[in-house]
Amino acid sequence: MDYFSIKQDYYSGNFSHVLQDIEKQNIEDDTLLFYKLKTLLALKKYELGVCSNNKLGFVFDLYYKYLQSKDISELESNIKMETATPYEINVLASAFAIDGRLDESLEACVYGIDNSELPGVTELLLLAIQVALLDGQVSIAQTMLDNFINSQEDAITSEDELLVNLAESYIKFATNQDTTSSNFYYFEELSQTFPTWKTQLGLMNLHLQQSNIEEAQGIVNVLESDYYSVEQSEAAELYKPHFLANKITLAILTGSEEVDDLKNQLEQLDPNHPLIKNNKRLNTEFDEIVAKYKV
Amino acid sequence: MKMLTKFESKSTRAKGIAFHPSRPWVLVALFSSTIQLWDYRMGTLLHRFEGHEGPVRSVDFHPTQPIFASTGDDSTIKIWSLDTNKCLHTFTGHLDYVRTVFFHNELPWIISASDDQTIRIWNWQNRKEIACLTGHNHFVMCAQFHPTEDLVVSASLDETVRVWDISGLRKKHSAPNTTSMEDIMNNQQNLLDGGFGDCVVKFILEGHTRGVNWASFHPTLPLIVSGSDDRQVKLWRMSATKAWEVDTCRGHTNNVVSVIFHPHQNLILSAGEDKTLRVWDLDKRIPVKQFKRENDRFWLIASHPHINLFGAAHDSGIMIFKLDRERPCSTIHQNQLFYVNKSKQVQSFDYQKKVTSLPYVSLKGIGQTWSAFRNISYNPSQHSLLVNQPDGKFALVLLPKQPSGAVEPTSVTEDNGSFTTFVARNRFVVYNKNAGGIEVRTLDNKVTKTLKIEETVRDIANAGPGTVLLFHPKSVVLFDVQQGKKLGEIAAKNVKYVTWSNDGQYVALMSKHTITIATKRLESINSMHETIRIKSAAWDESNVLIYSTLNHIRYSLLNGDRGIIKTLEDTLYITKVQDKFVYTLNREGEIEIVTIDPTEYRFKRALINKNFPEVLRLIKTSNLVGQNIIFYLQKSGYPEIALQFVQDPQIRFNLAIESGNLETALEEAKKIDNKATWDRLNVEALAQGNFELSEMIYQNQCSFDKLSFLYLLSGEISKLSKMEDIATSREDVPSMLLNSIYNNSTVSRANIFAESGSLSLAYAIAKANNNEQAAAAFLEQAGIDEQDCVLPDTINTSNLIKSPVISEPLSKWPLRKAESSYFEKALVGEFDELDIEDDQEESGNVTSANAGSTVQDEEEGVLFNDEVIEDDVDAWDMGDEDLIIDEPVDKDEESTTAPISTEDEITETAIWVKNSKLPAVLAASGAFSAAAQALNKQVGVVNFELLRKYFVETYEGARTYIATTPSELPAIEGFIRSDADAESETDILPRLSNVGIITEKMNEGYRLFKANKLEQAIEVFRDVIYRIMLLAVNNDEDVEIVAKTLEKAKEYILGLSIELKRRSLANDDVKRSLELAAYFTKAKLVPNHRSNALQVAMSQNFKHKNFVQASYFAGEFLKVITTGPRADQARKIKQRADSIAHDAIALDFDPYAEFDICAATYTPIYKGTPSVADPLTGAKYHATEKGKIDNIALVSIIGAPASGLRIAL
Repeated sequence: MDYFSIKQDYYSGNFSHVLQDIEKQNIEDDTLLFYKLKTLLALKKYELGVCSNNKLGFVFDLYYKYLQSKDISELESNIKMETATPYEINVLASAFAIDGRLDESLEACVYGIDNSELPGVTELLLLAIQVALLDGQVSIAQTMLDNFINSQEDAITSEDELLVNLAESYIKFATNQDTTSSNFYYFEELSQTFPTWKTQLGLMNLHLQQSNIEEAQGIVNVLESDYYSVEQSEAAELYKPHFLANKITLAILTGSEEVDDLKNQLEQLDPNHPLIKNNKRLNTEFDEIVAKYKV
Repeated sequence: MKMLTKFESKSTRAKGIAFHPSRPWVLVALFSSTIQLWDYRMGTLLHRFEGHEGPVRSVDFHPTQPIFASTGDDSTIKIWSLDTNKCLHTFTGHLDYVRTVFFHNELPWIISASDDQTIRIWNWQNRKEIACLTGHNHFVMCAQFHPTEDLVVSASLDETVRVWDISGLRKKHSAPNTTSMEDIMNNQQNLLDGGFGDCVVKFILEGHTRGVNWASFHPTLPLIVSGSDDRQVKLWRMSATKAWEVDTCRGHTNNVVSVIFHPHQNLILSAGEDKTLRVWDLDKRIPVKQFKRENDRFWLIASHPHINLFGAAHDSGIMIFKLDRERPCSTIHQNQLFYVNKSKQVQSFDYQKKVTSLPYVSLKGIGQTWSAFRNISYNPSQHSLLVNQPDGKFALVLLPKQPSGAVEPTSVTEDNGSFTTFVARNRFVVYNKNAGGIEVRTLDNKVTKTLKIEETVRDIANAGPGTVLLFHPKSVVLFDVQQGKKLGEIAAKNVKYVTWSNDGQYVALMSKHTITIATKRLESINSMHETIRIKSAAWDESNVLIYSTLNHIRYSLLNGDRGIIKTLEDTLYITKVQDKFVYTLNREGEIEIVTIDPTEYRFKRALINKNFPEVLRLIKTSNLVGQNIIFYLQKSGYPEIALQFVQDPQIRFNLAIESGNLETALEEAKKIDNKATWDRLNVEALAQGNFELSEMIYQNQCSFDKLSFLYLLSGEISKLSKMEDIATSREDVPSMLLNSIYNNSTVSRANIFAESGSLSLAYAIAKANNNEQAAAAFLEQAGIDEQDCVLPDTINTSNLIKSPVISEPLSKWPLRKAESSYFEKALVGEFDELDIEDDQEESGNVTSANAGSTVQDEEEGVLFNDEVIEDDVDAWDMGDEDLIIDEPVDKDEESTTAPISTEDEITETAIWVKNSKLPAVLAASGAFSAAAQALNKQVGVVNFELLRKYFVETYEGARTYIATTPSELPAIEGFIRSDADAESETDILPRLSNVGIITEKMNEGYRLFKANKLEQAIEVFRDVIYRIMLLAVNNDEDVEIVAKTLEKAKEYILGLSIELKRRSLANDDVKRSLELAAYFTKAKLVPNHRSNALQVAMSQNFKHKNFVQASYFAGEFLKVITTGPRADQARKIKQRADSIAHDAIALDFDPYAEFDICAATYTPIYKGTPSVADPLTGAKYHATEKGKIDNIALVSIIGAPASGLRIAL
């Protein structure tokens, strides 16, 4: 079974194509279901019970409920690590990560990677690397990737390579490696081949890392054009917080006065965005400084 | 296909050449009667052989013996010795010019072809002619033995090629009993019969329409090739019973004089009088390539018996060349070497497993059949190769995942363009020769960027992600492809290859005879010249460059020390060096692993790094010997180490002296035992103040006087007196006298003189020392009366010999300290911690040596950092809180415990703070409290509320957030660096505001000023000051700009505040209003802006009848604005005011006095009045304002102690 195009579409944020690709398949398996349900979630078209007769579908239902309620207990109690498939662990680990329980999330991923031969291990690796990066554990992320590549030797399939490349690019992004060369090219290539919100924002991040203000502004203009904001309205909504965060960085780089307004928008849209969380923390800290020196 | 000329000689017409089978020699037969012997590798003429009368037409080396044969128009065949360079024998018998001569591969035979229409075979050992082959009915131009069979092929002007069977001849001449009279008779008869029966014509090949000049056998196949005056090359095939013409190669435009088969490839090479050499495809009989000389006809082409070299003789000398490169293309990715083998198949080699893979693909379909590829570049991401062809084309070839054999590649993209190399996982560069630039292309071969390169590019090599090395004719440039800028350049001519060190810190640039070693930024480290052509190089793990020349593997250390490691039989191309293994590719496109002894260079490297434990270990565990190493050690200043390698007493003595090792020197001096040695040892002993040794040497050498002097110096009184006795017993009068002086024994001195017949001196001494009795005795002995004696006036008894001030004699008086070197101490086991018997693996020790140096570096680093910290403390005390700089950054993350400890994780922000402690960097790192403290100390900031936005934005402006997958996960934080390309960790800093944004804001302030939006303008100028506080600049120019901008912003805020104050006054407060208008003019605004202030002051004063002041302001105004209605108005006002020259209101404003304006009270601070300044803005205040908040920027305390704002990185 070749999942290449499904995964390629999913990871480049081309969600509508993912569903079309999956529909074309004659068979049903966990991998297809995983990507289908993930895509439905991304498109905000997920409905409870869409596939609840399947264990993975049931787990996704719990995950969906968690995303609404932020109460993880039901999901957590229904997944037993010893028997769970990598895809199920992936769902649980994602929930842990969103819940801020990064260590448990990483542990779950590592458990799944180490103890399973089933499909979904590479997806777990990608998640694990992201969680490690979110936790500031850059060297762990790098080591995990290296170990995975070495253990696979030449056996990495092209569909797995998609995920490995994405994981690598996240690490490079977080560690400023090859910012002006291969990592930049990676995103540039992606955004040219699959012009989606996700790829454009990825490229914008690389431009921002290089302080390429004009190019970053160019992407803002593109994303605000009809093709992206109207024709891809679902993705526009999904990626709006990310877009706002990048616009904030760009506004600061240009010394624009829009910064505060953009921050307000982001705060309303996604108060848990790291930029907003950092901003709040910094402001609290700054209150202390103001008080300390006040005469 | 390319002709690579290796050597050319200039001479008169050359008719024949022959390669030596094992040495780089070539014989040249000249029309002038001379035979030359050249070393074509070194380009030197080794010898000239003279002996033939008239032109020499052919020469041939014996395949194994040190002899060669020659022949020519004098009808003789000569055998020459290469040992003595003399002619050993001359065969006569031919009746006309002899055209060719060749040795038999195994039998002691030579074959000659002559214009006398015969072919003769001679035994050069017994110097007999053994066969005469007749049958041709015109000149025989060429005759050769078959390489393995008993056949001869000949070519004649009778238009035929003949194949002769000489098996009978072999049978006869290898039979044991051929010495009977009958046999001899038979032989002679046979000879007369033209070898009938022994040598029979097997085939007559007819087809040429003119005389045939040459015919050659194929080395392995039953084929013959011939060349003729009919300008054709013909190919013939033969079986056991017949021979037939296969095909004809047409193309030569004049006589074909020589033609051969390529020894290893399916090619035919022919030489013609049309001045061309032509290469033909043996299978297709089509022309492949031709090489033309302008003026010279070719006379012969010959191939080297073993290596891929050809020689051609022509009208003005010879040329040695090879057809196409033999270097197999290769490229390394991690532990794998990808290379193209001889059959143009791509294979890989795993350095770890030492296993060669099956071929991945065959590249035969790419490019021209007979042309080797220039080089390849591998893309691990796509698993593809870029193949550069010699004709300015390239191919992007997709490799199958697993090698399964030489299959056709599934995807090949071919295009025009040279020197392609990957620069990223999905980008490669192509040089477009016509456009003179490089193009960056995607894997779909789409051009994404074009970069113009002015200078000629000869090749391009990868230099890490996104960068390439451009090889120009006279330099190499490090070029950033993404940014299109030059990062470095080094002068190096005709560089052809490069190799990067494993850690990417160094690069070796190789041209034909020079290797230039440079840093990764192309800063030159050293350059070396090799006489023999350089072929390849690779760095070992410890940055020693191992390189190969045509015949050696050599090494070079970074300091330029180099040497030979191994001699090579055949040329090898080094791809990697690991420990003692050198991985190479040979010219057959096969992997060869050469084991080397790395001791010598490791030893030298250890010495250079002063890693004495390693030096010691190498001495103990290896057998380093030889003059070279001793000379090297001496030259490098390590005679004490050299001592360890030497047995010869004299050398050991010399080294011991040089290193001040008296013990060893004495040991060796005893063995050598000659005066010079003892003298030299004594000099060193004295220099070291070793009196005991010196004493012993003097004793051994019987240098009594010197010994006495030594005793005198060292205060050895008793020994000194013994010396006097010894002198007496030796009856050595001068010595006795000397000792009497040293011992101050006047009595014995007088006696010595007396006994030696100088009673007058004896008397004088006795008299001078008040020894009247002895004096009288001497007088009496001389028979002289005292009155007749005249003593010098100055005679006195003063004793010139001082008694020693020390009670005990000196045994040592060191003049030069002879301290044992580290090495010597180690040798005698002074260092307990030194494990001399270390039996670790060699590689392990190299690592430990490195580790040692790292520790040292770290220690130095720590020390250095301490100093830096101390410096910082001087500047502004950060207090203990400074230690928790990173805390705020990680605060969030600390709330969750990572499953694996991250204590060792060096965060990006930690690097930033390590590299700079400027407030801006601290703020960007999230160390807000440290940044605030810095600003407080530097410029007295206390009101931080106004800086909140700037702190936060400095932090946020150095970060960007990328969406995760799935997007409901939190976004991943990335950092924005000031230089996205920063290579060294010390260059890593956050992106911060720069001067540009300050300038932009200033302009915005000016615009608002011009628009009379003064409150807003003040806000903007304050914004400028706040931004300046969190600025980081890296050059003096920017520092100056910033300082000026800060000053300017302050002046505007001050001026505009005064004006706003004036505008806020009640109408009846005229005096204050006029004063404020006047003070506004004192603000240092740009002239055009100041004109506004002057205009206000002018009109207000005029309006309120303060004409003197009005006139002054009008005058000042006119200095700025000279034309226009405003100027006209000013002139009128001035004119009018001057005519009245009276002020209605006395103002506290003296335009001619020096004063500042207090930024709080807006009143003048005249010179000498107590005042304070604001540490941030520099604004002046009356002393009473001290301790209040500055009115300009509203953040700092007036008069607060401060060290000054720091913004320079």
